Amino acid sequence: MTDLIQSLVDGVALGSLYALAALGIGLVFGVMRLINFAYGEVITAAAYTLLLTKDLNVGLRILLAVAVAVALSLVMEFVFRPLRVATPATMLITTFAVSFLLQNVAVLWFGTQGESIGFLSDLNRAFEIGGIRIRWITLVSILVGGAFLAAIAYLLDRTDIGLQMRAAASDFTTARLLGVRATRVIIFAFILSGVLAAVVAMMLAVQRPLATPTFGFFVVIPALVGVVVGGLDRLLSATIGGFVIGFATVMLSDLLPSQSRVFLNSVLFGLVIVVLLVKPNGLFLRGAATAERL
Amino acid sequence: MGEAVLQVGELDVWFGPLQAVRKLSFALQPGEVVGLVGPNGAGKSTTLLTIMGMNQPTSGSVRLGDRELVGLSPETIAQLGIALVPEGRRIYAEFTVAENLRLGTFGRRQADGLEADLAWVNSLFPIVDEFRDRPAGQLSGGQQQQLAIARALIARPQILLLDEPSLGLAPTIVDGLFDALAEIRKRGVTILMVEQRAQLTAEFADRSLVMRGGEIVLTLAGDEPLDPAQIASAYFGA
Repeated sequence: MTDLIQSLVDGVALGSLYALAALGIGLVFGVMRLINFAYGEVITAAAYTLLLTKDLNVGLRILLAVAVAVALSLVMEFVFRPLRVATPATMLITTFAVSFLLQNVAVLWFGTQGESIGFLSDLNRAFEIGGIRIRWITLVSILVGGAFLAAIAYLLDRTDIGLQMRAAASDFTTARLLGVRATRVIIFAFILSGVLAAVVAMMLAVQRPLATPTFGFFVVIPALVGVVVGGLDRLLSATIGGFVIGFATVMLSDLLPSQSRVFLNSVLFGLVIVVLLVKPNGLFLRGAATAERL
Repeated sequence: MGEAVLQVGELDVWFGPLQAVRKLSFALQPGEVVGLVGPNGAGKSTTLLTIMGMNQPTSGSVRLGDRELVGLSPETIAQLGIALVPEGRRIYAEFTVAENLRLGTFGRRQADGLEADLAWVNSLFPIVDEFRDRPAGQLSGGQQQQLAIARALIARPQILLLDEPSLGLAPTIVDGLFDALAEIRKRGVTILMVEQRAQLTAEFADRSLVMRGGEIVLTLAGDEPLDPAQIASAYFGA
């Protein structure tokens, strides 16, 4: 029983992290129909910023990590801007190219070995409640993830820019006809996704403190899977999808016998294939709801 | 005749090898109601979408007063004072009625006067206020059309473009819709409406332009008796 509760807590923590990454991907997809594979490199850039600012105080490191992630996100928006009228396949391949380009830039600058980020490592200490050992970072991940998800839910639900983003995500053409400024909404989506990437990078940097060129890539792949499993067309479903993948990863990892854990990803992706065969629009969407973007 | 509020001149629109609009020219006078009628594929909706900047013409101009609209984005055109009620209403079904209406305010040129405009829209279409917290997808077809028009009006447009507003609506609902349009006309809003119901439109509008094959083939004055044979000839080219 204690083991199960332990797994549940860890699952919620990783789920929160993947949910944030999934939301970052979903925000941009919603307004641009762009699945940004290079999102992982925004996370990586934030992680390297934390590495390069080791000597500064924590507050400044956090600020700089957010600033770099947002700046890179905005550069990507500028690079992808001519693709707004391109086919989804062209956009996807371009984001692949940007992703691999940035990974290789990181290899050139930092090498492949990886360096210790050294960021808030004290949060890896654990405390115990009723026989369950909980690391502080687990608690922080849940709280920060929950806080950001709530803040973005509030922003989307209660503010003008949030309403414009939801409208653009639901029917971009009509939103523009109503006077919603497409470029402004898209830039805002990229800024938010940059902030979320930095938050994900910080949470990860505590738990996996080795900065490598693929630091973010291996977060984005499962998060993307989560987005697809949840359903690309709605932010909420994409975010829940991200959470489910993170949660399922921990639960499967704990449930599988130790000698079978190497097959964790195979089992997970096998389940994803089954889900998509049964519900091609995602677990949480009713019917087809795709619309082309201009 | 005074200075036109909207001037469409020599407009050509192509979709690949197909020409949807050919050398189209017409003008809208301030406060005028103009109908655009014709068979399917005549280029009526394309004309509205081109005015709104959704299609780029290969040549020609669309002028709002002194301002050339060709090349501007749809959102800029909306904020310059043209509102479109699109075919099929295109309301946001998952959003509340109030949120749909709020989306219309992003096209407003000035912030002041919103309360008064909201009161007018609510008096014109009481369901907008009555069902304000209800998901718009739960409204009937006629109510959704009212919401779509209300959403366009809350932007306080100079020109209201309507694309098939009566499509799919029961005759009694259509009558109510045209009563509302008559009220909107009294406010001095210039209206350009695409409609399949040629007779109803011709009687309501100050004049109607019959389009076929991307061109205007006949102009009907609202105060002249309709000649069905003439309209049939314009529609079918017989």
